[in-house]
Amino acid sequence: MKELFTLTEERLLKDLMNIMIPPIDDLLGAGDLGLLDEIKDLFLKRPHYIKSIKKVIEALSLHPETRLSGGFFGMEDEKKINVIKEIENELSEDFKKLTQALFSVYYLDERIKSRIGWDIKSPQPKGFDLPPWNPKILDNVKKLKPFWKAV
Amino acid sequence: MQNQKINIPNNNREVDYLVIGSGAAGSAFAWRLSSRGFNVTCLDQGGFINPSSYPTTDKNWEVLGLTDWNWDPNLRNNKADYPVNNQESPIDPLMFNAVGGSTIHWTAHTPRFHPSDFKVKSLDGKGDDWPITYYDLEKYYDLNDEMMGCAGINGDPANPERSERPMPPLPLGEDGEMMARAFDKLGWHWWPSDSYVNSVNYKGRKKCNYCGPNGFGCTRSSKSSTDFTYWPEAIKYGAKIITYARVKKILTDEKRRGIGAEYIKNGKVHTIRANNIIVACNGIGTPRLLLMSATKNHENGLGNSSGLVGKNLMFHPYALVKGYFEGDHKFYKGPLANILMSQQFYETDKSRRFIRGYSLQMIRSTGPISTALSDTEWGSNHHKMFQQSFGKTLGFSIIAEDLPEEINQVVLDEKLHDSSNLPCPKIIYKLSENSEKILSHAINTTSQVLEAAGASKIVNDPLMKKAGWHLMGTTKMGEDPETSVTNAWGKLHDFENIFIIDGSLFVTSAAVNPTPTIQALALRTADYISNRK
Ligand SMILES: Cc1cc2nc3c(=O)[nH]c(=O)nc-3n(C[C@H](O)[C@H](O)[C@H](O)COP(=O)(O)OP(=O)(O)OC[C@H]3O[C@@H](n4cnc5c(N)ncnc54)[C@H](O)[C@@H]3O)c2cc1C
Repeated sequence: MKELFTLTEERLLKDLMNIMIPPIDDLLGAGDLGLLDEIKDLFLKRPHYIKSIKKVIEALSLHPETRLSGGFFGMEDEKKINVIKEIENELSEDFKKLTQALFSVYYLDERIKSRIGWDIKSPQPKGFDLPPWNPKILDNVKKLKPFWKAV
Repeated sequence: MQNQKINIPNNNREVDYLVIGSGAAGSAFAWRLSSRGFNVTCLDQGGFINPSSYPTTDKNWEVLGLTDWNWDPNLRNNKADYPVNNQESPIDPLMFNAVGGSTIHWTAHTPRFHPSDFKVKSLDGKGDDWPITYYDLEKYYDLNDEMMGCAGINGDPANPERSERPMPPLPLGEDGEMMARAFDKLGWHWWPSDSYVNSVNYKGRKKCNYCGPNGFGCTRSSKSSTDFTYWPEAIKYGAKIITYARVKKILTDEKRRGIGAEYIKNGKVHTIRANNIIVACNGIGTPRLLLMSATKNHENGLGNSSGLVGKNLMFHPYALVKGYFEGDHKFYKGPLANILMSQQFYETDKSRRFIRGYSLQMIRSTGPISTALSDTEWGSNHHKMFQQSFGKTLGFSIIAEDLPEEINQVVLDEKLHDSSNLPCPKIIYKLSENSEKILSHAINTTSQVLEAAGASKIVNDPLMKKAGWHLMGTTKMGEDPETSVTNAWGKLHDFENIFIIDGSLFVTSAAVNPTPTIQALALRTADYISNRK
């Protein structure tokens, strides 16, 4: 199978992922957590996502500031963030797809789920429990006089 | 354009009542008529969906909600879907195309119109009055509540007295009760939502287990969708559905009669002959089909002598107000939007600067991916923002009454075509000044409720884009053929035997979710037709 991203693209994407979701507690940033493979797996059958991600990567690497600095990796973090924000503005729909893909794989990861206390695999088949209907909660509102307009 | 002299081959099937569209309206109609012994066949461009394929049992359920099960047909892009050009609308229309129609995806929040909703012109001088009243629909609302399964409770001071709901209300949960107390503190109305979601086992369908995102389809069928309510009954009575059959045009004779339809199935064009034609393709699909069915004698589309087919499109403009609550909460437990509703500001109040009003529908938190996407930014603040919002937000969607305006419309797009190469609808819609004022008032009052409930931060989206759930008004009913498309029974003024039964009929939109009213209208037309015989 043809690789979805070139090695250079992958390197840049990992860096970008680390900036977008940085490390927290004992967890590395999203790029270093190995989530790029998850993006490839999950979005392989949704080529418009991959296309958008590639567009963002390309725009980042061709940005004048990036080129002046000899590439994305050579830039200071602050500069990187400014460039990313610019691209986010310019390619908002593509960037939205990239964000969707990244946030999706991040919050699907078992390590993250355990950190945020989301211990369910899927909403069904178990669902949740709710305390039973409590008729007393209506006591106050029942005191309102009917106020719909009769016509 | 269709030639008037149509040769329909003899070997084509012939039906008495041809229903186009198997969603909320088409199913109710087909059940009622078939239960009375009539011969009914329905065509739908989609097929039956196996509930086990719904996303909520899948670990990627939120990703599927963004992609394959998206509410927006343009993003979902199923074979049964048709694209909608929404470039000239701040609100994107949402729908589902399958047996059951948009009730596959709906959240089944099911309030009724108020009596005043049928008299907007008389009361407020705008729009029009309906040619029918609340009381004409009342028994059909009751019948629909029974068939679809309504959970709720009597005694609501904002609405007329009504018959007992077939099921008790869904529990409010701690979060719902907290919000109820906030309304009480302000002395404002609230009431447990009416929902077509089972609070107890009902008609062979299980009680809800409160998983939350029922808008992705309910795997246990606790949320009512018409593929599990009306259709099995209708089929028992002999109604037939032809699936994956996309209707291309309604065929008419030289007089004032519909004689059948042409549809595309498996890439081939078929003709079906019918004595009566009932259109239930929703507020966008119905005007689209009438416009696509233009003939030499009806150059501007069928039933369009008034020029109003496609005009007066109404959505409900929606705003969202959300409060953040400190503490260790899990507000994602329970159905997303079947909790409670306030109609404190429903009726016109002359002291405000707008006419008509709005409802507030409470909503819970969502799963982690949706939370991250809606409540956080990327970058150094991401984790903090996530931690402050995940499971900790409660809010209200504000349903504003939309008044009819002819400039808001569905037309055929000259360039965009669906997978059968049929022209797609284009939406032209502008938010009215009255709607803007309603939403701004509502954002203010809703913020007061959230404050009273103890929210530490309140944010709002003043006009939700992905919120075109309710499609109404595009073939309005009325007495006068010059100012309406159908009569009070949904029959096209221009034809003897073509009826519309969906939200296209709405004269005004009210400020509540529309589907019980759509289904009540469909049942009423079915009774009219069967009593006529
Ligand atoms: C996500 C979501 C949430 C919602 N939540 C609520 C809610 O809580 N409460 C509420 O009251 N309403 C809600 N709604 C709206 C509700 O679903 C609709 O009002 C209702 O389904 C409309 O019924 P209908 O029969 O007019 O159209 P639909 O249910 O949309 O059915 C139309 C059918 O016609 C078929 N069709 C269209 N064109 C053709 C053609 N040319 N040939 C063949 N078949 C065709 C389609 O495939 C479809 O099956 C929601 C909608 C969505 C999308």
